[in-house]
Amino acid sequence: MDSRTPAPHANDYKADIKPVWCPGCGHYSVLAALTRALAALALPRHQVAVVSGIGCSSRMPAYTSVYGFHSVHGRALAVATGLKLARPDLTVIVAGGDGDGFSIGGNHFLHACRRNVDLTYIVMDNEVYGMTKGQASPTTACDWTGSKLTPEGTGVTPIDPIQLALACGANYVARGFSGDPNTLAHMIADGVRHPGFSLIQALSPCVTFRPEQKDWKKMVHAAKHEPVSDPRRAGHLALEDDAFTTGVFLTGTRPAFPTAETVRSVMKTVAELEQGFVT
Amino acid sequence: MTEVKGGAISVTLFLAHSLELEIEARDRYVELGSVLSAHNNADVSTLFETLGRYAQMHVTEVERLAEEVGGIPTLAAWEFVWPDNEAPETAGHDEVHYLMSPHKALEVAHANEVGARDYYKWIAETTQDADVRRLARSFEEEESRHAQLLALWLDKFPNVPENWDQDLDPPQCVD
Amino acid sequence: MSVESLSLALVGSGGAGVMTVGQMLLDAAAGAGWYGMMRRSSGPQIRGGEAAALVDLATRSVEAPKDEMNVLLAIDWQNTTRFMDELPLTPDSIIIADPSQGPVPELILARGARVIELPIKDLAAGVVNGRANMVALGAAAAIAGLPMAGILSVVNLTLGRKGGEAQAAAATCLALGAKAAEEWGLGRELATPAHAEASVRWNISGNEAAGLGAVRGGVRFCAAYPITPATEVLEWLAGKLPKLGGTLVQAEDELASIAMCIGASYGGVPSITATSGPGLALMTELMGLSVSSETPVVVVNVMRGGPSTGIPTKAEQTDLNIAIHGLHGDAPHIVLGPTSVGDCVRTTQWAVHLAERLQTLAIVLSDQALGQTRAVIDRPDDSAWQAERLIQREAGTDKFKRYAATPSGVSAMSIPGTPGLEYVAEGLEHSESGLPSAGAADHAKQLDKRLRKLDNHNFGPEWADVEGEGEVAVLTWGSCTGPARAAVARLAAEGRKARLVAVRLLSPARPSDFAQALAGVRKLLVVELSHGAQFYRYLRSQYDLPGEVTVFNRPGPLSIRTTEIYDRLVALGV
Repeated sequence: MDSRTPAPHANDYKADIKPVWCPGCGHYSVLAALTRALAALALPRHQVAVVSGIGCSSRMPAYTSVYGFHSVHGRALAVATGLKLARPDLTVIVAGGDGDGFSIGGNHFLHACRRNVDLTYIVMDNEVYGMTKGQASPTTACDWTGSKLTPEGTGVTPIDPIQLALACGANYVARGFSGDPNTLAHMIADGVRHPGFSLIQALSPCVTFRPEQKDWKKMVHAAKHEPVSDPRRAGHLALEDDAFTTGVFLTGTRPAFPTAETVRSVMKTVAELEQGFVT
Repeated sequence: MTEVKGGAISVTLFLAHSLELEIEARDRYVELGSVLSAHNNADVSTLFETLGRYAQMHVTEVERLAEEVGGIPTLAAWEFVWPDNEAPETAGHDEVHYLMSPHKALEVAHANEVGARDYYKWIAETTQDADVRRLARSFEEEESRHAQLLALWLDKFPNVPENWDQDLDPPQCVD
Repeated sequence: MSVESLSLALVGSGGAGVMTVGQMLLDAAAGAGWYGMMRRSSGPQIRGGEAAALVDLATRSVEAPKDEMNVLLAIDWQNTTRFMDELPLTPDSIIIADPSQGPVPELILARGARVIELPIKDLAAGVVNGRANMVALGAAAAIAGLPMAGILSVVNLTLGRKGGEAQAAAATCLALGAKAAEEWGLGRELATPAHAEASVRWNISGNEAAGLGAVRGGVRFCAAYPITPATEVLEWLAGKLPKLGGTLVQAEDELASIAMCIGASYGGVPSITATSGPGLALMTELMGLSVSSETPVVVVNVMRGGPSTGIPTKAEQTDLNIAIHGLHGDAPHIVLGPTSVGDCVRTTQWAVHLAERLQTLAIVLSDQALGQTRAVIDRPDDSAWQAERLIQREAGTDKFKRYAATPSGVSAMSIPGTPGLEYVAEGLEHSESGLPSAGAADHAKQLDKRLRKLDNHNFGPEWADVEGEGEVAVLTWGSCTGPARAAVARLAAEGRKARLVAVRLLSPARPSDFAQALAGVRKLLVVELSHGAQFYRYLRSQYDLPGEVTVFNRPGPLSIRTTEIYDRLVALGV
């Protein structure tokens, strides 16, 4: 319990850079949660990489002091998958928003869940595109009329990321809230420790384009259920949910990709491989 | 990491909580100072930076006490037991606005000090440990003085009109 | 009487097995010491379609298919006329037809070739478990003068799993076909091979060669999304990378495959993917990320007919524009074109070296005619090119500047896992330390840096294959190099001089090397397989073309033939 060497603190994982996020934005608290999780895990900074796409929340890597990749819109999961498969020794965390992850990057999300590479994906969900001035995202309610692009509302059913992740095979599925960064930090740390693909949906209000989300702190409520390991049971919980339940839905038992069976060990040299071409 | 049931039930655990409370207060003030600076609110930025420096003094003080008792446990953020979601002297990220006035900022800071005072009061009233009670009382008194000081500052900074958060420009497209 | 080369087409449909026969013929010829190549042509059906195996066998290395088809062996005539343009029959050609399959199509008869009947199906039917394609193989092998023992060993290798009865049936069918062909006395037996006893020859496809070049260069990660005609690059790597301690993962689409490669490369592992036109189009945004974030990556693009889905199974040289100009913004990168099946090894290896050395994107523009052609060739020479990335391994006293504007333009990377050198690879424009920046000075500085890396690099003589001499030159690239080289060789054999310049380094341009290679040229023939003359237009944009310029361009799917280039060079006065 006692430690003579100084334990890392959250601040050790923060970069000395001023975020562009609006003051009041939920993402600051997600950053706090992420850095607290890294501190609790006591991971050396150089052994961690945060990969992101494009959007407000995808600015995350620059605000941490670990390795980072700020890639292009929608492709963070694919970049992170390549990094983790090439460098399984690293802890790879993916950060992004609802538009980046479920719209332009939707296909990668499906396949990251089913492939089950050992990644932790934090989606800061504010149901809006912030960096392009507030358009509807895949998680936006169908009757939200706040955008000039869809002045009558989208008329399209929103996605529930929890249900989607469970259906596609993610191995750890949780919903947290930026207003409770310590619980969120706990989820992130558990997600990192859990083998395979972890989705943490972090409800994170946008104070600029969705000021009504300030009320989320009154709407969220902690799950009454314990985490389950059977995705079908977790699916039932998610289907009956009002989308404001925070907690861990699934702690699955699938082995991470690549599984032990797919790792081959017969080693050859390039020169030996070339022999296959000799007539 | 350690499972901590019951919160600050020993002197070392109490000091661990106290140190976390001060560190989080300091780091948050520094962060908010930076946030407001990035959004060109120099007055409030400076104010938060000042509050951060004060919090640093308290960090140093608690660190000294921790050393005296031979070290304190390391806890994960979620293992601390707080009355609310974060440590009681930590300004919420959602409590700031880029157009906020120094008065608003001082209200936030004042609430933080009151929160810290009430936390220590609660510990003092509920703990079974006499040493913890003694320390908690003394911290409660100190936080109480801070709260009073901030109340004085608040009087010096007049409040601003109702529509203080009005922005004449629409938000920018940036990505 | 014997010949130096022989071209055969084996056609058939509905599972006749002509592709297998062609492959076995090539393998047996290779085993017996000859050279050769086999191209494939087929209908759009996945199974049961009409197919043609186009096999060239020769005593010397084959640069290009022969201009005439010496032998057409048809197991049946189902829809065979679809291949008419690929079957250059002449009155000297021989058609071997099975009378049970109906008359030889009029279009084919019109070429005036001699028709010999061989009751392929009936002969096979007389053997228990007999197969028509084995009768055909026996006949083809006998015509080419291949030793029966070699054919048998290749067949037995393939049929090994099916047991002794299948092998015995095959042997009987082979003998029946061979006996008939020997009786015809066609005099087309190949002469003794010309290669030295000690030389090592390979039996390899261009797509396999690209895979080999990648691992020779140090690639240890591949993310793959299947697409015709590039899939074999990925399949070859899938079998080999794990044995080298590397990784291959099947991606969900081409956006993911290149993104995964960029992620792996950021992690310090040299990475490659392979695709064709539609996939390349999808990858363009992420290729820009490779350039901006200075993360090395190699894309082998095996070109097919376009636009849109186009003609997936046929070659065209029409992704040149998108490869060079497709990225948004000013995005300096490398585009290379292999000049033969064997050169796919060397050029891909060079691409890995350049991408890693210059920390940028390298695109290898192969095409279907290189990638899916299997050739028997002399073993390509070893190249020294390795993935040598400039890496900072220890933190200094100053803050790490990942994108430092160094004199060479190349700045040291750090690899995740290295303490004290944490940085963010950035697709936004950035400062030297990698912080996002929209400032004019940072933008100009980083643009200069990324261009300078390429400008300052000494690419060396590999930028092109420059061969021959004379005042007339043929200027070409990629799969057109083979027929161009064969045309120049034919002229040389006749005592006539022409120059060949086949550009391997398509971008960045090398104006001074180019001027030197073409110094003294009065007449220039530009050859390419592109309706829009993409190569010629690119040359015009980058180079001063000397003398009188003639452009011979046409679209796929038919490859350009040696004789078409030969005739034009003759017309230019060679």
